[in-house]
Amino acid sequence: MSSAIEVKHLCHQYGSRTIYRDLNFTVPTGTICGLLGKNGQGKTTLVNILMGFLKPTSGRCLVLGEDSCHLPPLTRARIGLLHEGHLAYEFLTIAQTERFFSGFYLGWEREIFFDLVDKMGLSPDHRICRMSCGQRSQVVLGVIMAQNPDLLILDDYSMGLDAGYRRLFLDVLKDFAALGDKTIFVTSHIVQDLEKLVDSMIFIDRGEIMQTELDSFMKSFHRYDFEDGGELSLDKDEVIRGFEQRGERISVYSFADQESVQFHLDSLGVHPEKMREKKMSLEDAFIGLMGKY
Amino acid sequence: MIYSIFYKEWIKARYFFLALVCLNTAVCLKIWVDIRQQLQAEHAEMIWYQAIHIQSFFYSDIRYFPLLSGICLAVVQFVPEILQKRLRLSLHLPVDRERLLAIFLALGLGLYTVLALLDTAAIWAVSRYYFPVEVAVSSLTTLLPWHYAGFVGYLGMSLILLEPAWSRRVFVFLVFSGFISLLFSGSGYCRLNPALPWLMLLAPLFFLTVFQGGSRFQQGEVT
Amino acid sequence: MIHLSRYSLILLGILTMSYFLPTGFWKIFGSEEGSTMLFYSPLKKQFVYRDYLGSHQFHYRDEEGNNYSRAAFEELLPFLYYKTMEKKGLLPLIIDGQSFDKASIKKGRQGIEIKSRHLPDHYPQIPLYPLFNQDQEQAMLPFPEDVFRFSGRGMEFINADFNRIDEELSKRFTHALMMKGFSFPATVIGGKTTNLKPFDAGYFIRDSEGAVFHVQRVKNEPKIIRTPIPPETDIEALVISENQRKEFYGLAITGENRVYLISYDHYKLIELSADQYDAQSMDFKLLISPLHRTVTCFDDRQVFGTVTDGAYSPMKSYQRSLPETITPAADFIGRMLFPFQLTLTSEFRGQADPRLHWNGWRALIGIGLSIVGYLVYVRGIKKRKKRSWPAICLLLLAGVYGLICLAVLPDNT
Repeated sequence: MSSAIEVKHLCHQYGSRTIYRDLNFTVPTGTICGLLGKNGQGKTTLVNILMGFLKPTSGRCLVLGEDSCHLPPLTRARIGLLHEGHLAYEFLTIAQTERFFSGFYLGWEREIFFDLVDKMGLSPDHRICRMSCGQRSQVVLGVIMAQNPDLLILDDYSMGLDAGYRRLFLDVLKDFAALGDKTIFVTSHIVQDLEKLVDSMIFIDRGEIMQTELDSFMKSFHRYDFEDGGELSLDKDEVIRGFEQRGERISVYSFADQESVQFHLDSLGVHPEKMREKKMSLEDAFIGLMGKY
Repeated sequence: MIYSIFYKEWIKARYFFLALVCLNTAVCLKIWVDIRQQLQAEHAEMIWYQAIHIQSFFYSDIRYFPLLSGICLAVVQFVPEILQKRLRLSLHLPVDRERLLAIFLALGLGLYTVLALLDTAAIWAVSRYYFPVEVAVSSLTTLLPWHYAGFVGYLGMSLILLEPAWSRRVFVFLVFSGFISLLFSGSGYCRLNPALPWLMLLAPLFFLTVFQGGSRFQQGEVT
Repeated sequence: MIHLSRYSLILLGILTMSYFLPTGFWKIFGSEEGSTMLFYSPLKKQFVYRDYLGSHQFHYRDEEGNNYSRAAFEELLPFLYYKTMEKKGLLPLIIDGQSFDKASIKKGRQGIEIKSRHLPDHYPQIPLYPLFNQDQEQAMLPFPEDVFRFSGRGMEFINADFNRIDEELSKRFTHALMMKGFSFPATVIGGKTTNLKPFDAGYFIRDSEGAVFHVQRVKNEPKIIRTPIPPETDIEALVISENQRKEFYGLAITGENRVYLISYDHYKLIELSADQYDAQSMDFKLLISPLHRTVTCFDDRQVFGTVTDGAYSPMKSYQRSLPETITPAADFIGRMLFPFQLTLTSEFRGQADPRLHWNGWRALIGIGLSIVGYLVYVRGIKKRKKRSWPAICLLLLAGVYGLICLAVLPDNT
């Protein structure tokens, strides 16, 4: 299977601050990949590097087979890009936006744009600067979908959207993915949305990543709860990937099975009683893995 | 494609452009009314003498308006692109970056040329109506450095807005404003004529400087 | 394209800096330019001069280097400072047995100065001139209501009230000129365009075949005289200066830098002794006193003077360099620091005069230091092994200007 996105040994620094050190991952063609990370972990920076808006300190990114620093126009035409904050030319009206973007794409599908935009019931002469964030996101989505791209890169699409617009967005993305051979790379901080969308996920934390299939992650990552009267402090290690204490209830997150965790805790001098596995949503797992802060 | 870029730039600039047309027209009208009133109040031959031999030409009010127009056009075109880095929307379009920027500048300079021609035509008409043809001809090369200052001002402002690093912005400001100050040096008509061919030779260089700004904007370089 | 763009900005930076940095440096470290005024003292029988050293400092000296106070200096030049002499009660003067009172001094004095920047083609001039109407009945010279121009076909008068050619007047003058054999168009036009003069002497106009005509307007009628000035005299400028002495109309300057007076006596040309004069880059001065005529000409380095008797026979010449106002250290540092300098104006032009000045061998030191500075920066501070040859070429050509550009605009590609 070919790769829509290939990141090799990517390092990036802002001054003396290191954002990534030796990042490697691929997004195969035809899959939906979610990039998850807390705020400030460099999700937007990665999108900017992939789109040639930032020169990485070292390493290489291939997008649709081309070096991200020098994406040729023909390749850019195959990529639908949603900038953070649903960036749009706010001085244009809906109709002017369609007229502007349609001039650049051979396969421009006017109907798709107006299908999406007309749902809002706004006049075509409505200026974007007078729209709500949700309405603006719909216009931007219309522009991206009308391009009929092969690769969608969405930088935090859910930012500022209420549940209705988020659901609308997801529906469109799912329909798009169903067309086959379409790749979607999406970053978000709203984890539960991705649960219904992505095939694989990349967790990014302090410059390091973990890439995993959604299914296998949800199967292999566990949460074990037990109660303990005293103050407990556990450091992360090979077995314990996350630890949380609320009152007397303690949660331990791990890729290991219950027996191994029990044995490991025993060796650390913690002797949990009545430890049992608890079902998790993706969001619970995300927080378990990444922590709250 | 070119049409689309022109279209967007025109929508951005049109009201400001019309405002600049009004402003320049107003200045030209003031010049006309002033000289008309002066010729009625004084002997025409004295006004001629002052214009020809004392070199106090009647259209000096327009001096800094081309520069102002050029800077305004650059601001109108590039500030909306710089805010929230919206230019990234255009940079992602399937168009070569240099070509995109060249079309941006072509529209800006095109609108600027319209303003410059408007001023020149108005001053020419007033000169020709009240003065011998020689005075009108001299107004052309007197206006030329001022119009050139507007051209350089437009490109300089565009580059300053695109450039992400402050140190370079300051350098560009000093170089461009230094050059512009030379275009306004001296008094009297046709002062810069012997230097104009040399100064005009630099015009392509000023145009070219903007492209590195575009590249640095795209790559977000801050040093 | 990006490299081209960067080098464009670097080149513009270098050009702009090469104008402003040296200008600023000399403004701070060198005072105003020095100047010398050269006179002939009829009492000492030698040249005396006043050096201006900048910052309101003057030296008053004679050829032998003797210093004088200002008052003593003025007493050496009684014809020039006759009003001071009068106040001091030193008039009438007796020089070489001749007595000069205030009236005779006043009558025998005249000065005419030709600044290079006022010569044709050295400043922008719209070729339209007022031809004053000579009318004895009028007390002052009123400005004519028209200006004239010379075209290939004739002399045209344009009326200022209507901005229209006065066909009738134009025809009369063109006809009169043609009757005298004027061959259109005019090549040199000389006349004083102001009405602030004691009377009007009209214009001296050289035609396309070299003949010089004296054109006047008397009671609104043309008065044209074809002068006997030989057409082969390669006259490039005619400077007219009306003066009550009525010895000469003005001066004619030729392409070979010869200067002639145009005498009232049948337009005879009297050559002035000014061998070193170069109209392109020198100012010229003729001072007439009751006893002598002094011709001085000077550029920004030297001043030359010749004194003649009343018949313009040279008696004595003198030359000296203008005083240095810049300290040798500042001069050395300036020339070392800036490999070249762009200037846009000149003392001798009334319009822009773009020039590139090389600062000679001393600039090589500055270039060398710039390269060393660059290498230290790249290797020592940036820890980069690679030197950039284009950068070194840039420093070789532009020295410190190049170094500033490389510091502000590093190549990040």
